[in-house]
Amino acid sequence: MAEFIDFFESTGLANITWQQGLMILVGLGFIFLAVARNMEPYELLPIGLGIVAVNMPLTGLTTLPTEATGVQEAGLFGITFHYGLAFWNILPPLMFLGLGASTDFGPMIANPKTLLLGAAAQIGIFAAFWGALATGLFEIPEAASIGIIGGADGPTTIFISAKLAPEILGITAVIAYSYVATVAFVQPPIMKLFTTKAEREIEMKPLRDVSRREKLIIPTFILIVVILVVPRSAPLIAMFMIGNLLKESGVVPRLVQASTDVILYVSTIFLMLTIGAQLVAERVFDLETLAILGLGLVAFCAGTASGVIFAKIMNLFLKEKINPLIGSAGVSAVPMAARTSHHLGQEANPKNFLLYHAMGPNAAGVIGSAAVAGVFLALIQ
Amino acid sequence: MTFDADIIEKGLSLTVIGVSTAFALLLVLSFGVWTVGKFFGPKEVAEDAADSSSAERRDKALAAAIAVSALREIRDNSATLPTPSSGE
Repeated sequence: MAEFIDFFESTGLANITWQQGLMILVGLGFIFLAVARNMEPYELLPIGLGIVAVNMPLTGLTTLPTEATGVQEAGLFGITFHYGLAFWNILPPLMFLGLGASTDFGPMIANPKTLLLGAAAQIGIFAAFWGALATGLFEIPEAASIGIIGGADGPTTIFISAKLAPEILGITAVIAYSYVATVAFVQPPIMKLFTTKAEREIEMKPLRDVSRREKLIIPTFILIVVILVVPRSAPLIAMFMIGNLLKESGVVPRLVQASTDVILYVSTIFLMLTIGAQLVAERVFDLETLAILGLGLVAFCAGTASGVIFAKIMNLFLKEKINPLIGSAGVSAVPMAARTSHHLGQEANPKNFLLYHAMGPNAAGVIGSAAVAGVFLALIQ
Repeated sequence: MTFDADIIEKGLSLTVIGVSTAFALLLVLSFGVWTVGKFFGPKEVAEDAADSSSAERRDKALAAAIAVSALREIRDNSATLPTPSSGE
């Protein structure tokens, strides 16, 4: 009988807490949203599985590989977190390689003034940064990690949090991806609030064609300029532009395929599982998490609003007006934010085809948020 | 809401440098991209601008293609392999 009791006490059943039970339900909720609602399935499904796995009691999955940890004692997710993010931080740049290889800079090259919209949308980062400081709950490194959610760029959020505030990495990453997944619901009310119907109806002239030489020169140019000004953004920007150059060169189709298929998907699996594994019960159930959830929304809304408002300001000086709806695509969230601009434009005027136009600020937003991330790293670390 | 003077100072410098770097950088890139376009853009740019119907058709085709792929993605996720979002 004593052995039976000993065995029972060594099982997860005897050790599970209500917080862990609740987190397992949260994980199952993520899995449901991914599978049944098709919401960001590539992110939410592995995150949900990671949450379920690490909130099982006594697994040791998140034990970090340190000198104090004995041989074979480190947990699987502890190892992926340590080497993938905390120590080497290699997974977000690998994702950027794949994303660069899937990005078309054509719209941005054809209409370079839309690059500025990518800068304007970064205002959201600073709105949330100050909001986080105002709560008194966070120091500057955490506030920067929370603010970067406003860039609506998952890998950049993870990259910054892993360096500046690893203790809130899981929360910031999940919140960033959650808001990215809900772009189609979060952005439209703000976009409508800051635009008149007449502005939403503005038709934009089709963009010019872009030459192959331009597509080869521009990523190289961006790589050099951005890294010269913000060297700490190099891991993200370099990988993004290298991926894009591989694609545009047209001479290494197998490397492009490896980047967009194998590397992107393998790093997605490990990154998202690791992020989910950061969401253990004791880190989630506190006031800070709720604050980050609210601040992430502030960041996202402020970024959307500032992009739209800046587009309206640009219109004061432009002969050929731009539809301010494309300003909201400056928050990154590729390509959902661009799709949202397009849908709202079509709703106002069925002749409007804003998708291609909105891809310009969308790509610029990725560059803008990586640049701000580089500034944070340079000045905070 | 209480702010330590050091935090305000550090926060302000981060904000000013961060915002101005983002704008200045993207302004330089914007100018650079425009300049590259002037020298290396397709020669038929002027003709294309005058006759915009082909570009318009391309935009419409692109929008239609993306709409169809989005629908397919919703209908049967297992049958398609869309790229994970960047945030992206």
